[in-house]
Amino acid sequence: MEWWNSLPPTAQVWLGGILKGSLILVWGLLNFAICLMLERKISAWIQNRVGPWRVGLWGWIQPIADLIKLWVKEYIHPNNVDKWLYLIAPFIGFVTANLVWLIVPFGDKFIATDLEIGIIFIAAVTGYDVIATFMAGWGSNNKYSLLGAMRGAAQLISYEITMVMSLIGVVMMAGSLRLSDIVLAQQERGFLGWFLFPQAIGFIVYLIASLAELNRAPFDLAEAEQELVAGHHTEYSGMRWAMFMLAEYIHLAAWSAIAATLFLGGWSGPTLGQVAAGLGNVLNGFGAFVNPVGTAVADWGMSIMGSTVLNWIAGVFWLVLKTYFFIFLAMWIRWTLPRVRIDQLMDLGWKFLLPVSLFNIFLTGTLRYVAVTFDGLPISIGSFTMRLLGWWL
Amino acid sequence: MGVTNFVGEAWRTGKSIATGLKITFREMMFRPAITVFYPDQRDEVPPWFRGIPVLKTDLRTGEYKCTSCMQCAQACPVNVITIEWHQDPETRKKVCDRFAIDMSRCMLCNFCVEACPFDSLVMGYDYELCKVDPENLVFEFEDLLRLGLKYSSAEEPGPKAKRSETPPWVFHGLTNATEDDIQDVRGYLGRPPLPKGYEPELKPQFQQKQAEDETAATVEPEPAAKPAAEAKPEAEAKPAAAPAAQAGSTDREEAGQP
Amino acid sequence: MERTQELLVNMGPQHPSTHGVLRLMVKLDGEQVTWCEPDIGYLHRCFEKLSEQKTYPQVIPFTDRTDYLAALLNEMCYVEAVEKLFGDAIVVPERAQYIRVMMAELQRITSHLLALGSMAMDLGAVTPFLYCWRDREKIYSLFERITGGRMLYNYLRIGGVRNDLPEGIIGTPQDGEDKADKTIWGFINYFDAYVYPQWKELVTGNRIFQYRTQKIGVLTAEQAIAYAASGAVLRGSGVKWDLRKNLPYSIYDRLEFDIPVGKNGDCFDRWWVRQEEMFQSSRIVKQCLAWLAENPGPVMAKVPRVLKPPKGEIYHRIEGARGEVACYVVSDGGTNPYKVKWRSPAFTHLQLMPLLCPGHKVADIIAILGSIDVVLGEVDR
Repeated sequence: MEWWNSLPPTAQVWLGGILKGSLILVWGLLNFAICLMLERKISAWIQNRVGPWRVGLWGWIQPIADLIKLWVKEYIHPNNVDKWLYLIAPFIGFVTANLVWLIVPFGDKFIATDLEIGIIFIAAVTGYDVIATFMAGWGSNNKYSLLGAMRGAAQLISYEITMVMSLIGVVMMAGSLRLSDIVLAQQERGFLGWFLFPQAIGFIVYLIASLAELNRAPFDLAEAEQELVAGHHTEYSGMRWAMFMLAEYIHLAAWSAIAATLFLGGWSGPTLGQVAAGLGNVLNGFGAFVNPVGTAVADWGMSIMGSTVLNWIAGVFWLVLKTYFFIFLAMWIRWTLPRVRIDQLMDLGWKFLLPVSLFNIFLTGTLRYVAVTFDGLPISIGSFTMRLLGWWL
Repeated sequence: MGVTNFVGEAWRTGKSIATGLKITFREMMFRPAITVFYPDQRDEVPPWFRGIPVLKTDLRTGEYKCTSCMQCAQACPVNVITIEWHQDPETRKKVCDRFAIDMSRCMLCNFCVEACPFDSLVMGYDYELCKVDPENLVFEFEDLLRLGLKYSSAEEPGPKAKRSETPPWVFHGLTNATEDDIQDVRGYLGRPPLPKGYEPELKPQFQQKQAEDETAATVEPEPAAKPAAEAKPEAEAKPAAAPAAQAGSTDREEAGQP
Repeated sequence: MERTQELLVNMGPQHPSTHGVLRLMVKLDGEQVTWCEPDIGYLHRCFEKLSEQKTYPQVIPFTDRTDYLAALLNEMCYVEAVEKLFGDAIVVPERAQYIRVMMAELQRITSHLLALGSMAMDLGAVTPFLYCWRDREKIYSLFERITGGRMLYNYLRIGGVRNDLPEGIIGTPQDGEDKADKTIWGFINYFDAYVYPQWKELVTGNRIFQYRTQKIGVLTAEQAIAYAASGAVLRGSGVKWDLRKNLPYSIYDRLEFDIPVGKNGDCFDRWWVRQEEMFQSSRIVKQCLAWLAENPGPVMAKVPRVLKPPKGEIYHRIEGARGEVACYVVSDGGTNPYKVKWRSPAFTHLQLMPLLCPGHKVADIIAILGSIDVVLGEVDR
């Protein structure tokens, strides 16, 4: 620490940035490998198959084999492509996907950049994905790619509005755009106070909108396999094609982490210290028959409760658990539902989800107003209903 | 679209999606995988499976059964069977010089087996016929004989009588005959031809059957053919089906649960 | 200068959802289809000309390969045509007739399962396709036990069927799912209890699926008749015409079943008709099984070794899986047919593409193609 503090501030910023950046990159790639394998395994389980089986234990090293294969594959460079667009597009998608991870809080103060405008940053960064899609589609000089890119652009732009609108409810409840503040607000409210419950409408809208935002089934129109071969990445091969896949899965994981942060309380959850203290309490029979073992466990729990590192580990554990719940949900939906058509997608976005999310903002505002108004008053009639209002406080 | 309609439609859509998700979840959690791990485990092959047509050897004499009568070649819809023969000047019998099936064009239709009047051809169990070089897909006489050893038997099948009773492609169960059981009377497999007047000595696993056949033939030469032919279909179908079924069931149990 | 023009896209011959080797030339105005034309012939195998060189029985394996997803129905059409040519000289045993009908209906279930599954996959739902595959394989295992072949059977013969049902394949009506690939009763019970309800809930009841298919590719009854549509495409448009009922062949007049008819003639109705037809097929199979279990007998008529039908010509049509399969056989009294003409329903239905597609979106082309259920092997023959 002293060594670190002795460095000049500029060096601290640069070194810290590089360190954080590489950690985020590694974390993203790790998530990619797991997501890719999960996608295959879950699809296989749903379809009564076993999935990849040969490489490693039950096939779990398959993504590495895949990456090696894609690495050594030929880079096909078609003749009439727009060279720079064609070359850069995959990497832009990859970078934007990784950027989202920058603002995900893994624990209390355990975050790469704690932006005050976190939610706006999310909206801005996911907007870049359009550019990657469109560059790839336009640069490939292929009709299918172009169609896919047009679809992707229309879809991403229209769903971005819906997605941000669905998040406004959460922002109103937490009173902050900063993600760590949102998590702390949820932590204060306890398990039932996670924004999943008072913001149920916003949650569902966000779920649908971000599936569309991620280009995942049933909204995978930009790369609709059965219609447009592979959409915007039809002409790509080898590692450049893999970049699109990397971007897709890292994006999926990042989106799931954001959803977990905003609606499921992020990293909040019992830490090891709390668990131990609780266990000790139980062993002591809640004070009824205090014994040395229970006391020891409770004391140990109390002693490690303040440990930053242990709390961080617990935070990462809970965040990853919640994240993978969402990833599983996305995969489960993908392997169940048929794809919607482009006009239906637009109808859904503009005519259903946007009004619903606006209604959610209105509802949240009203309920909060009522809740705040009645907060100080002693309420006797319909106390359950009124206590319910506390949710929106 | 009124508000009721709006909400009702959303409800119906959500409900149908939930139903779908429930079904896939049930499939995922509660139903076993149906995958057969192919190169390690094979699926069951039923007794009447139509694989490559192969030639049988009469294990009593060690001679192949084909008499070059050309019935199969004529019956073949795609003309993949090539037979070349010459007449032996001494015995006045046809001697097969070349019998080749071009498996690249064969469509496994079974017509050749049905046409064969001497129970010489049979549709084998072998279905992994891929070769690196397509020219190797032309299966020559010795290849077909080698593949057909499994289906050969040391007993007289009674070809004419059998034709009307059961289909000829139901064979007599698999034998463990090896290449040495072909006596190579014509010098076909590259070994020197056997001396004239050679009496083949049967391997132990075939001797029992031969003895039974001989007793049957010596006691009642004339009527023996018919009862034998009638009794055979049952006797033959069972051993053929039983090993296949056993093999299949074990495979299934192993394959069912990953 | 600003210039707008229509985009000409060649869908196929190598495209994920062209069901074989088909090229669809499509003109697009944005996402809207303004013009669509199928280009066929990539799978032409000279079936009709080849038949003239072969003897009558030798043609049977070739008929398998026209519509390889419903091979038995094609065999049935050809074999019955030749038997008709013989007149009274060949009397097909009753048991053989029942076996033929039972196999044909099982084949219809496999074919419809694949039609439904591939259409669902074309609409983006991959899982139903694999469920279809799983259930179809069970019937194929049964067929393998009965005929020896998994997909191309060469099972029917002029004058009967090649062999009787193997022992134990019929099973008992109590057989459940665990015997689905061992006995026919097992499969039928599994189908009624599991497969059919699952399809109804998983795909047919799905609102996204309904949105994708309802009011898409509407074919009116007049148009359907004018374009000589048949099978599920015709019945989806509301015309109650099924050769099994209207011109009964074989033993269909002894069996009880209904004919499902659609209302609107859109993709969803065609889908729905197929799904209901599978259920009716399972009803037919049950009746056949009950009969077959009690009536043993010969399965092959006495036929001469060399088949020489009398001089004449015959046009025989049956209700295939995709529509009316018909064959026209001319005999000059020799061992080879003088002419075999094959009417394939998929070829007729493919003509509907230019009619149905314009005005819809790109994604709807796939839905329409899936709903008319073409098999390119049959189109090109």
